[in-house]
Amino acid sequence: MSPSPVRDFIVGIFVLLGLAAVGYLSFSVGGLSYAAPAGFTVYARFDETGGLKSRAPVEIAGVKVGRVTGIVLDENYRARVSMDLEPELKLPTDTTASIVTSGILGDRYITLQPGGEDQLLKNGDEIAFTESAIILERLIGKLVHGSVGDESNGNGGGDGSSPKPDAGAGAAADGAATSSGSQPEATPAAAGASTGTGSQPEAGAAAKSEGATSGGSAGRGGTAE
Amino acid sequence: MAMPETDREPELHVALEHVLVCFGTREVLRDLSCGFRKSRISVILGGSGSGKSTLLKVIAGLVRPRKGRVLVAGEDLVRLPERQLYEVRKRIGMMFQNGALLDSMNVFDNLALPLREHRKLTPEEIATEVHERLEAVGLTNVDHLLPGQLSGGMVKRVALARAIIARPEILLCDEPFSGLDPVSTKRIEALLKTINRRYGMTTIVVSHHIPTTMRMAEHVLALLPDGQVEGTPEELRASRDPRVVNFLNEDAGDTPGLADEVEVLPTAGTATRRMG
Amino acid sequence: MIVAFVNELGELAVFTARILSALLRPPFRGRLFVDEIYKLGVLSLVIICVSGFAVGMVLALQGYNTLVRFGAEQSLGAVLGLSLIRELGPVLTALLATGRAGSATAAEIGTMVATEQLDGLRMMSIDPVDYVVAPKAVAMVLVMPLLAALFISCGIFGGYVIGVKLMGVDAGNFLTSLEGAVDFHADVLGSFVKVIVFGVLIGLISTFRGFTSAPTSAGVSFATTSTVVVGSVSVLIFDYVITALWGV
Repeated sequence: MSPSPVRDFIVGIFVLLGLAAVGYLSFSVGGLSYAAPAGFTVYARFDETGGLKSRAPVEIAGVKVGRVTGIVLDENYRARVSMDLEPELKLPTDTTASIVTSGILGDRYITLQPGGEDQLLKNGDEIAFTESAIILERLIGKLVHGSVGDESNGNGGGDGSSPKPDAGAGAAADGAATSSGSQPEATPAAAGASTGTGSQPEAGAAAKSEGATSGGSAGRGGTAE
Repeated sequence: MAMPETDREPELHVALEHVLVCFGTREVLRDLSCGFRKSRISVILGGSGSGKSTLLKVIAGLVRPRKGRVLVAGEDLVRLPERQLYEVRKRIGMMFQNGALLDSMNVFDNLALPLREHRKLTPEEIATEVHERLEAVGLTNVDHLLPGQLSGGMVKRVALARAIIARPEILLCDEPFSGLDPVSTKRIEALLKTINRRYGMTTIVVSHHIPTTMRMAEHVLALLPDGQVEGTPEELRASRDPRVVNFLNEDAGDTPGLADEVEVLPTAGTATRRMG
Repeated sequence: MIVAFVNELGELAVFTARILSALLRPPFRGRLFVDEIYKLGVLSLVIICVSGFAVGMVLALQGYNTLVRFGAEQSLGAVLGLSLIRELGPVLTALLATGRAGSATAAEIGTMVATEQLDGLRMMSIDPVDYVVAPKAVAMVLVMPLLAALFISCGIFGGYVIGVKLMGVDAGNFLTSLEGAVDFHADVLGSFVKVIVFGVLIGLISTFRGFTSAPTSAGVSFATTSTVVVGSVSVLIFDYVITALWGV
């Protein structure tokens, strides 16, 4: 019954420690946001998200710049992904969003490839150029049937980048084909080395950057006409 | 001293009517009727397993009889719900055999607890009350000792002080002399008498210590294997009843048996479970 | 056997109702409550943190060795975080708390029964359920989430030390994978729900066993042992049921 200040102090410390741990798990690890998303939201449509999850990271050059906040199906049966990005981030309107995989079996996440436009993406804008997730099984299937090149050319719009700009579709599909073509080759190498994650998106990104930028400007030209 | 007073005996403060107490299938008290008068010192005598500690717990409301009535200051404990039982218990103080002091708190807090719980007193008033009771049992400078640091005799005295802290009308003492040396026994005996006179509490003592009992009691209830006998100590001594004669002679030379103390514990526990 | 079991469940239900009614009535015993948090929480802190750290280290080691075969060692953070938060954290914390705090509670109350301290309280017109049992049971429920959170945090730290410092997983990857895989609503919230259920279980079982123990040393020892046995088994059963029904 008699109050003992030392014990009370220790109990206080214990409770604070415990609450700090609860807070760490909830806010830092669990990603609970106590306020409205701090940054700005952009959208992107994909034909295939391949198991991308809500709260997956959004990266530029491997640096995390935001999170996926929601994935819904739109009226054309495509996935509409919303992303919450850091407020100070300045992205040109011709930025490309791609769904990639960390490791071979790892989690899906989104990388952004900023373009060269002067105009910037605003809150609520949609990223026009997207690259869908690569489904490993389908790729292996194509490889086994020896039709990688034909297939990817055939449905380049569906498999690869944004189908919206028709004129750019060819170029973009080429880029996509290159990137998907490089995928199986990069894979065995990635499996051996522990730096697999690094090599895979880079291979994709490298292949992409040429196709996307050229395809992107071509595409814009196409829409303008 | 007892004879002239029989004409104007004080009213019954505690009365039991046809009480039956069972633990499982074993009947501990069967068809027991007895009464204890106001402001008197009454002693319940009995051998091991005679149910005398149980009887005390029945009066305290800790054991609920299966049949009969237990009237304490006019209230029938058998029919009272648990919540109201706590109200009746505010008028009863109980000194347990082993003290039953809360061992997580010191002597002062042990005594102050009922005052803090039930009365709106300032800390100064509480301290005054506590020290007054501790002095009444002849203890000073024990405030900050834990029950574990007290000697057997001191535990009994602290327990007695706690039993009377709230100035109850009825004081129940379970084996106040067990496990004590003759000097401490005399001291507790004197204390009980003084307290009885000073506060006018109806005092009911359970004991198997016959010499002390005969000295202090104004009224004796002897629980014998085949029935009970009531009367003043003089009446009991003068009795020609072979059972009484036997009992008094048998136990007169005996020191309190160890068997009895072992016996008391399970009884207490069953009581706890029953009353929850 | 079955009758006895049902009987005991009934007693437990009545006991629970009494604790709840004691909580609803004033006074609120803040002082006792703080003491109980000290006994149940602070005194369990060392074993919880050390165990959490050790479990995190072992998980990281085992997880790394398995993941590296599939080239997915970058997902170590996710594996560690999810298994700790969803399953191991709540269950191991509950088992440790049963052994440390639950047994201590049962032994303490059992001893109070044996030494008539509870009867002593009754004679002072203080309900022992209100004064002794309720603060312990409630403190157990409130302390459990804190202990589990500390266990999990220590586990993540232990895993980080092994995975990043020893096995050379990239620190950024480890944390990104951890934070990307764990969702507050799906994982963390479920973890806390579990751990609070376990806290209720342990709090009830330990106080009930102590309160109904036979007033002998054998009785106290039985109360302590059965708290640990019954507590652990019911934690595991409830863990399965919660996971199966709500998938957390």
